[in-house]
Amino acid sequence: MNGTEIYAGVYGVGVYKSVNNGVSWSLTNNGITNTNFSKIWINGQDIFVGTYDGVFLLK
Amino acid sequence: MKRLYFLLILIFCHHTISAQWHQTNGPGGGVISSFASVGNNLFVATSFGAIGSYGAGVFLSTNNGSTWTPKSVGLASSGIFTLLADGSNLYAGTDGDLFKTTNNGNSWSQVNNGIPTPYIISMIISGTSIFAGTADSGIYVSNNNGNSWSSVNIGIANPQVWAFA
Repeated sequence: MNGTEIYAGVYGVGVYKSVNNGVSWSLTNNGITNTNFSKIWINGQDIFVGTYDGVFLLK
Repeated sequence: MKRLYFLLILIFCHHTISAQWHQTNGPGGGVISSFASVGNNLFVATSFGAIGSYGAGVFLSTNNGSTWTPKSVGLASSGIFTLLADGSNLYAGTDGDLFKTTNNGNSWSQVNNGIPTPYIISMIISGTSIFAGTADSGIYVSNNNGNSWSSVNIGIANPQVWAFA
């Protein structure tokens, strides 16, 4: 979670984002080249996802 | 002047709608199993690599992923399943040991005391207590910064503990 945003990594599909407490989700894969997700990490304002091939940063 | 306004609008729109994912420069070598932050230092661990092999250990980035430095000297296994930061201490759970570093991964020491088969796959901190979940012997707790551990499995039906919250 990041403020009112919730992120969910779905293995093989992508990262979904909800801004309404999970009522609806939108896929936010722009720039992701590996959708085999394993972890999401929020550090301050930075959001990272860990995959089976490296780390991605949202910016 | 109209052209300037148009450009400013374009820049604003670009900034607000173009947030996207950028692949950092690594780390290579396996599945990212865990993240941990110690101050501005970002650590990641890798568990598995190619089929039938373990990952490439622990990595540190001090610049938000622009570069990654291996920090596995002293780790007996490169299959790291969980990281936990506690102040300036960082713990790494592996398939055969629990390790701790107090110097940002420059060296690691075993902190298995009290865990007979330390296959550590999850960790959490609650107050001054650190909990470690194992693949085969349930949950252990330490109240002295990992120096010793005791089993706390009353009520736990399955000894494989993958996650805490």
